[in-house]
Amino acid sequence: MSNIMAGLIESANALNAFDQVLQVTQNNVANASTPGFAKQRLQLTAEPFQPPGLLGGVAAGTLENSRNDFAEQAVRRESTVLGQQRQLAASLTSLQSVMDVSGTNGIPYALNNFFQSVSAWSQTPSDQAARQAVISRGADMAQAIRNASAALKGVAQDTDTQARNTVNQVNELVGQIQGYNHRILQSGSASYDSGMDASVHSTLEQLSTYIDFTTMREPDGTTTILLNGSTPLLIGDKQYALSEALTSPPSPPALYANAPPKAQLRASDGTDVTAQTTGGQLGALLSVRNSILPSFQGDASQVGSLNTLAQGLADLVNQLLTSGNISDGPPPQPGIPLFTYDRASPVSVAATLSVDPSVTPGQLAAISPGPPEVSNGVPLALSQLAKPTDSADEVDGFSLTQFYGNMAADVGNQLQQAQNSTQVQQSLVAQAQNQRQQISGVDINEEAMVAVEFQRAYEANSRLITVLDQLTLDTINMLQ
Amino acid sequence: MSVRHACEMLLCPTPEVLDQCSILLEATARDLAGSRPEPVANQPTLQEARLLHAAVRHARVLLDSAFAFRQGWSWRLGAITAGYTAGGEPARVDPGSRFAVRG
Repeated sequence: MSNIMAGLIESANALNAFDQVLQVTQNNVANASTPGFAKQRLQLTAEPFQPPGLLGGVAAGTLENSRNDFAEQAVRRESTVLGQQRQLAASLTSLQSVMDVSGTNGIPYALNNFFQSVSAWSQTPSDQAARQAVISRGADMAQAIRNASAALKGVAQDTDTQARNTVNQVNELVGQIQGYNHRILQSGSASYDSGMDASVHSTLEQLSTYIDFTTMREPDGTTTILLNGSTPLLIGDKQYALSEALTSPPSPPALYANAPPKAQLRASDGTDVTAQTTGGQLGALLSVRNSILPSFQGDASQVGSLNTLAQGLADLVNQLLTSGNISDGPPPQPGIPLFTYDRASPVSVAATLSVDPSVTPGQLAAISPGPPEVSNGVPLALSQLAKPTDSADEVDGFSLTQFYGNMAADVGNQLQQAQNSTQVQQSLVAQAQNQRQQISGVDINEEAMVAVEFQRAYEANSRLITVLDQLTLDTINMLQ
Repeated sequence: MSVRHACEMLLCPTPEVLDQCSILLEATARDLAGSRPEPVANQPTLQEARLLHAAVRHARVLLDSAFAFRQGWSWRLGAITAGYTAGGEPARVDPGSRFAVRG
């Protein structure tokens, strides 16, 4: 009798186990399109066979979440790079609009007009209208440089706002996961909740576009998040919020006063974590704010290329004008400078460059004293600044136009690179997402066989790609 | 065109997909080697060659990324299921002996 009962109980257990398997399968089907949901599978464990009481059969084991951290991390890693490249491309597009290269407006247009006006002045050195044109085009030139400086400042302010919003977004997303942790801790059990697990993974995936972080699933079921693998953002139900501030770091000591401040990312204890934060959208924003923009507008340790250009232009023009004479006298009347700027602050030259409003057309020196004296020597020398033959007429080894062209090309190249990387990275994210689907819930023996097959196919493809790479390179070299 | 198609296929990299990719890549390599253009400056052809080169580089990135993923997963799987070797490396998962019949 007891054997019959044991057999019936065993059959009921087995049926119950298979019923749970069916439920898990139905759950998978129902949640197939839920963001962050991973397939689950139920492990059936063998019951001990020890008659008369234990008659073997199967029982439902612990519900195994087949989502593996590895696949999730791969998706998040690629998403972090995509977030970074996408933000870099967006920020550099804004920067490129400041660096016009069409020649129809902005600095290159103003430079071209200025050189045309000095060229016309050299033809008629005494003509008051030609002299006035030089002053007017000089003022336009200064205005164009001031506009570029103001536009760079605008890009910097936009970047600050975006960085602040991103930090808020990061804190909000971490806060959401903190809420899940809190619920887990309150429930007092680390039991698996597939709905909550899906929400956690979906939130972590969103977070990965903003920052580079690592996560750990703690034994109590909560998720720990560390920024850049070291700075805690979430442990248990305690969130450590990030903050962003503009600051002028005390060390190293500032070489240039009045320099624009830097963006600083701070951990909840006030520690500066800016340098470590290079990934994701936030990493890109910090890089644009603290590295790319200062290379143009300057900071505490560098003048910035726009200031170098502005000072180079002003000094070269002023030097030629003051080396000439307005009249040959006697006594000869020396020329006066055209441009003014804040000499006390090398990082403010572009922002303060202007034409001295007191300069009149009659005060522009045209005579080069020589010997031999040349009546239009100064305007001739000024027009040669467009295509200098003497290194003294260059700015850091380049003509004024070339120097500006290099600045614009630098932005253009960085933008092109970020756009290309964004395109490639989008496909890497899609690939990682597909691979996550592929390895979720796959049989281990099957997986081992796939790995061997994959290795073989990879090697074949890799050799072919190496050949194709060389062939296309040879073709390009032949056609160039 | 074939290389771009291979890139699209590599978004879902399985051994079967990789086998199909190698057919496409081999055909492209054969076409390219067979039709070497005249060594003169030719802007449209040059542009086409540059696009092809970019597509090949893209395929390389996707292939390497897929391989790194598979390799990392294999290591993890090995560590989970078979532990570590005496040298500290994750043990390899034995795929067993199988026949594979291909048509």
